[in-house]
Amino acid sequence: MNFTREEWERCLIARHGSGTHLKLQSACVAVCGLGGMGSNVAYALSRAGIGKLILIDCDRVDLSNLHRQQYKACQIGQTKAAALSENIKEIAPFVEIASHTVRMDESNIKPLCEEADIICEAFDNAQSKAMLVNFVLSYMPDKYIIASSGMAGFESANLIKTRKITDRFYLCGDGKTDVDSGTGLISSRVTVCAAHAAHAIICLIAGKPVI
Amino acid sequence: MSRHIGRLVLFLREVDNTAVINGEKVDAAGKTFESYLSQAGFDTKRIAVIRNDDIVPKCEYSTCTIDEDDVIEVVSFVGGG
Repeated sequence: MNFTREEWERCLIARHGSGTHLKLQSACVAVCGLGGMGSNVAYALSRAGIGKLILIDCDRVDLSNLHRQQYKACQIGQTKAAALSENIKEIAPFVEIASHTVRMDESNIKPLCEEADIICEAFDNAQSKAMLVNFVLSYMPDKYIIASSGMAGFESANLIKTRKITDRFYLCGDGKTDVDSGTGLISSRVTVCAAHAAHAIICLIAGKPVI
Repeated sequence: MSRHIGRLVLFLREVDNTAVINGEKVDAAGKTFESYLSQAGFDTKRIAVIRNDDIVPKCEYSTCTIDEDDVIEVVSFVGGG
């Protein structure tokens, strides 16, 4: 590495301002699911100077992931949590990362996400999405949850939006296009949705309006 | 005259069993969430229900009833991520 932490921080402060940089630097976000949504959200947050990421996924990198997820061909077979952690460290070496290779269910959400200020739901399965959102809103009332629904297919990227559902719950996506109905996931459209989620998270941390 | 208007208002209030669900007036007040959601065809494993800006925990669907004038959003999740 050919730069110091101080040089890196100076670049971020020049772009975000010292107040916002401090807020980002002090924040912790849990990313639940490290596929097309989660890996891209984690990249955006890391580049923006987030202090700590908790990366959670039960899966390993597969050839079928490379078309939309932030992994490399040489990482096939590695756990996603470890591979993403490695990739982020290459881009933003000072981000603190806790990575967990585990399947999330109602019994482990609290211990895994306790430290996070904001929880990002980035699963691909609709039931898992609903499970996490319901649990966080019902039993972790001090957390924010940013979730996603509807990002498959070739329809216009302009249909992807961020909606404020409650003060603590934001939902990104078109709300409709379902991968289970046979519509494929296209990297560009998934990345747009991930950028919506990451932007909502950054705005919440910075204390700026999300919508 | 004002007595008649008063009775009419009372009558209208009595017959108004509507709540606003996903932006539309629905005759659902008095039903449990479980009953409404199953009649409306929602898969309860893929939704989150927000009533007046608060989550309705899943364990309360069978006991909690929809009140008149509730503003409810049933958020449906689809696959992909």
